[in-house]
Amino acid sequence: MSTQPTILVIDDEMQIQRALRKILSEHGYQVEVAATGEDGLALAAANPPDAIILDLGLPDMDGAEVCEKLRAWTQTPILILSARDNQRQKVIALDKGADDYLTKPFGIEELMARVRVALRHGAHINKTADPVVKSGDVEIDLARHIVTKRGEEVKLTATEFKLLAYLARNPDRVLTHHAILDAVWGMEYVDQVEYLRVYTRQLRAKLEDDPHDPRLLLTEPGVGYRFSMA
Amino acid sequence: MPNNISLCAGAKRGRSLTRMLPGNLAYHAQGMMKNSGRRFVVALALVSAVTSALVLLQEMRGAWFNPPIVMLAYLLAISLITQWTGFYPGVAAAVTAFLSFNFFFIEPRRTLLVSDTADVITLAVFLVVGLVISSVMARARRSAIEAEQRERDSTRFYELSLVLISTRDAGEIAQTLAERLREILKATVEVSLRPDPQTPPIIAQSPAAKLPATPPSQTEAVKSARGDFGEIRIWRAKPLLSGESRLLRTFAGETALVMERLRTAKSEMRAAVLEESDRLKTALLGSISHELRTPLAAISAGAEGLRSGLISPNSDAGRETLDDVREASQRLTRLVNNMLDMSRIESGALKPDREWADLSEIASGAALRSRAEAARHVMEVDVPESLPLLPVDPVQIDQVFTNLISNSAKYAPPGTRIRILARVQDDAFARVEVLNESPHIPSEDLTRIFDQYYRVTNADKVMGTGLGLSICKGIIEAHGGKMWAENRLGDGAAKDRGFAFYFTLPRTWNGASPKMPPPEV
Repeated sequence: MSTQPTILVIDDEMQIQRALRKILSEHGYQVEVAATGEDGLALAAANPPDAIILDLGLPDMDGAEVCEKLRAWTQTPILILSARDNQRQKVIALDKGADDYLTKPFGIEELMARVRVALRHGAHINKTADPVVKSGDVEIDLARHIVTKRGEEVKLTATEFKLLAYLARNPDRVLTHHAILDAVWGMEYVDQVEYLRVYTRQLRAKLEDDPHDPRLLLTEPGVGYRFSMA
Repeated sequence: MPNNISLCAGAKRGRSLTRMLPGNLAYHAQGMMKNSGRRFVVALALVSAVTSALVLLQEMRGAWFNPPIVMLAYLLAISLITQWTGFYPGVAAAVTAFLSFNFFFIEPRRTLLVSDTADVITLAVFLVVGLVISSVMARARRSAIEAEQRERDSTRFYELSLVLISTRDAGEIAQTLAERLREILKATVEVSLRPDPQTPPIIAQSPAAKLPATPPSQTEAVKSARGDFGEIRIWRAKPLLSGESRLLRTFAGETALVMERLRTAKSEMRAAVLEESDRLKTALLGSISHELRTPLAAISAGAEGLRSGLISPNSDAGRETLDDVREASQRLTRLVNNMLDMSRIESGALKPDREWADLSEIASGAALRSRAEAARHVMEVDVPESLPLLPVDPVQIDQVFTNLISNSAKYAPPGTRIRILARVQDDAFARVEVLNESPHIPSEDLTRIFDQYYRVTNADKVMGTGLGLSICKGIIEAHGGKMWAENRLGDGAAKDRGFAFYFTLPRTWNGASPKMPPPEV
């Protein structure tokens, strides 16, 4: 079927290539595989995919560089695969435009969930965003600046709302500290992770059933935050 | 010149210096009169002085004045002169004395002619006796000088040996050697020693100022039959005397022996360390291969079962098998991660990626994720939200909590509490406690539990690599904190159980506290 979404896998490890090809095609996706960053970029240009799965440990090119080059001309969602120990590289790739990450080894369910989110996000690119975001019993009306939990309005400060709205506009995506601080507080505050800690704590206290076991605002340790739609 | 002064001072002390002559004075005299021309001048000047005194006495025509007295006075002078100035100046003095005797005191006077046959014999005997005295005295003098020299050498050598024996440090040896040689030889000295043939040499010099640009005037290898240990380089305008060269060689030889001992001791120590780490590695391999084999067996059996069709993937048994495979591969992942972390801690490559983090969030997150592992325990997290943000690597600190919870769950009896507490300790540190109800351990083991592979020794009881706690300690120390454990009195009735892990974390980051956002209205 030509309507099948195409996913481009850029990874040099044969076993991962084979596993991803099998898993993804069984879930009804068309799969293209490239073993190097160079090939990946060429394939992406020749046959624009609906989403890209990119390994950060490529033989020829830094994963962040691949992200940067892709982002020069396409907004196709990029899901990066990283080893556990290159936290920095992961954050850089996310800052360069990657949408999400998975740490190897990962489970299939986790992978498929991320792929679905990525595709949904990709499909939303050209549409006007839904002004009301719902997650669990929380509703955020982005246009009217109203937040309710179980139908009751929750009073937020201006900054709290700005932060929540930015996260909610990018649901199920990892947003780096840098990106959030830039969007909410501005360029000169991008290193002020303290601000994020304080405000997410305040938001959780107001919105989560158990602030210590958050379901809405998830922390990605060392990376950033994720607004969960689940 | 100081040496001249010491000679004059010695001469002024008159006869009392006879005792010293074979010793210091002779040595100093030799040192001072390296120039043999000067020694001849001294010898001839002394003979002239004696002659003048005798001529004066002759003028006074004392009744007691006669040629034998003149002869004896000359012989005394010759023997003293030889003693001070050596053989050849002594011979010159003897010949001069012979001529002066003839010229001033033998008839006819003021000529070198001799009229009386008896005087010819007297003069001949005088010359021979003078020469014999010269040679005997010169030999005595030489051996006295040598004895003195040897004594000084052996004293210096003994002093050096004492220093060399008392140290195990090649740098100190090189420095001592350079300083001693500089003192003794009055030269610029550089010593380079190689305690290990693979590493660059350790270099010491004295004085500390810049070395001359010219090549050294003398070099002496520090080597023994079993190896080359370096070199001593000397810069001095005047070449070394034979005694000084001998001393230099002796010092070099002794240093070579000490270096040889040092090298042997080092390789023995290295061998012992290697043996110990080998033993540990073998033990670890044993433990790890056991740890690896169990999940691998589960994965392999599961895959085989499904592949052969014996188990249907869609049956309950199939799903159970797949769950087992997944769980086993997760365990393998954990194991490999632990080993990677340990090697990173060991090589110093584990650097915390700090950010201002919320410890209560990290602790609750770790507790939540450990729910399955600590399912039979009651988890409590008591980290007040008022606790300031801490500059930590949240991923690493999460791992510390996870490992401590996992350790607690392994050893504490089911149904007991595992508690995480955190408080501000002082301006500099926050303190975290992870408390459980595990049995007490012997107090001497309280530090050893953080040693790598420690529990390898009683590996049969509990699963694990024995790396968890040493990883925790490595992470905390990389953060600038401390970690330790204590037995404590348990809750309720149990007096023999109750265990606490403690660690501290710094509150500041490069001296700075967290910058909190301005309050909103």
